[in-house]
Amino acid sequence: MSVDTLPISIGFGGGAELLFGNKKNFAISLPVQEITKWQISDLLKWIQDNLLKERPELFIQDNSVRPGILVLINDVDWELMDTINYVIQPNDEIVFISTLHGG
Amino acid sequence: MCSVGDDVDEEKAKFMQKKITLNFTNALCIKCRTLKPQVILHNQYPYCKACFLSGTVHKFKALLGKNRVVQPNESVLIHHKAGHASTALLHFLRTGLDLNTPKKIRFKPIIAYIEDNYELNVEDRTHISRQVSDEAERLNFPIVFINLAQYVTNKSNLPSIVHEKVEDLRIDPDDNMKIRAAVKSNSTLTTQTEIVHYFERELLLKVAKHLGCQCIFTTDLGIDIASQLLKNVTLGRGENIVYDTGVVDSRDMDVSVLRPLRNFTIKELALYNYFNHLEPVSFYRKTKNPYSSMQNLVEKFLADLHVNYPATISTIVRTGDKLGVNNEPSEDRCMLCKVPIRKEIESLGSAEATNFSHWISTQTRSCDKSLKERTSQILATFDNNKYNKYCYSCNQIAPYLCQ
Repeated sequence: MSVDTLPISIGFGGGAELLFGNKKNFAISLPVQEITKWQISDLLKWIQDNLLKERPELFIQDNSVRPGILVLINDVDWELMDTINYVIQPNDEIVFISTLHGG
Repeated sequence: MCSVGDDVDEEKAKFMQKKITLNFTNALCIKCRTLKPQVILHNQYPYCKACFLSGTVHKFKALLGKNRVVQPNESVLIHHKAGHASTALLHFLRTGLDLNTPKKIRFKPIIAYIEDNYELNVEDRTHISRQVSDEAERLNFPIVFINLAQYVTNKSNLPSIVHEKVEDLRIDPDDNMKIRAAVKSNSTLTTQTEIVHYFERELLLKVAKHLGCQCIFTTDLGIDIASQLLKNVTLGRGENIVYDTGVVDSRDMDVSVLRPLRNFTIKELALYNYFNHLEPVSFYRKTKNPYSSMQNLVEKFLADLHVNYPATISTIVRTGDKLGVNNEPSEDRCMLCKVPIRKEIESLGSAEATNFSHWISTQTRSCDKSLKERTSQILATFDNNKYNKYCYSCNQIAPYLCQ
């Protein structure tokens, strides 16, 4: 059986959910026809095109997340996982936490 | 010829280290050396989840234990400012209070939420206040709500504006106008920000006294301390630095202000909240124009520098910690910010020189007198004491206060 989608779950917290219609969790399937090896950088583009509702500049900067947004892949800091170059595996849980600290 | 900085090695050591990329493929937790790391702090130290969480709690308790500002059974006012820092602070306190070991926290926290999100609409402001109320209820803390604008318009009757229930908090669309009415309209945003900051501090101290608290905990993080320090430098508030950025601010005789989170980064607290399944009260503030005020510019400068040079914040904070007040203890206090004012100075400092320069350039020259006579007249009439009601920086903003 050939696998034609890559199922993962994405979560937003710390205020990042406000950019996604106040929804915290998404279960998504990434298409694997065009991209076979999905990296986090590809996912960010996908999120921007498909999920991001408003003010993309508060989430994306250049081809990474905006400084101040923490990323956890299966509860592990993405800085331990090669950040945007990490190759996403099926059923990965990727969480974005905003720390934009006002005041 | 000057040779400082000629040596290449010295040159390297002189500057802060740029962000380094390390390989953590087979790394182990730096503390237990057995588990795989899940968190990386300060860009180079890997921790497993358990060591990270226990280390974070320990860091909080160590600061409290070291300073011993709070005595058992005293009440402590917690300044809730929404966001990760406030939530983490409340959770630190709740877990400390619920302990049954000798390390149990023995003081009584009361939360104070000062509502001042004037750039948002009434609906959002009400929603945020309710979320703060829910959080206090969830963690089982008493809480009071105060609208800063109401305090500014009615300073004399504090009990009538301190509410225990969020439903009683009155939020008006024209609160922003009320705050603005307290500051003259020809002032700059820098001055306005300073004055609002002063109102907030004054209100917090009054609420603490009203509720019988001997101490206030703020949620200032390392980055807030560093930016406050640079703001003070840029605004001519050198004398405030020790009080505004130190661990304990004992300017007020009765209530001291403690900054228990000053050694934390936002990342530590955000991850602490995440691993403890805590949802902080969050909202997006309006993006500030960095060039509209000195305070905004300092914040932007630090935030930008911090991205590529992670040591920025701790370098500034640690440098600030080495500063102290060298003056004789003085009874005279600035009427606004309450820092002690220097008395009877032998040699003129930069503040006095600036005052003199300003004064002399606003005097009309009496042309019928000789240069010598004019000089002696000027020296005889210049009264440095008229600047003694305020500190140097407050002298600049005091004229813009509407009384």
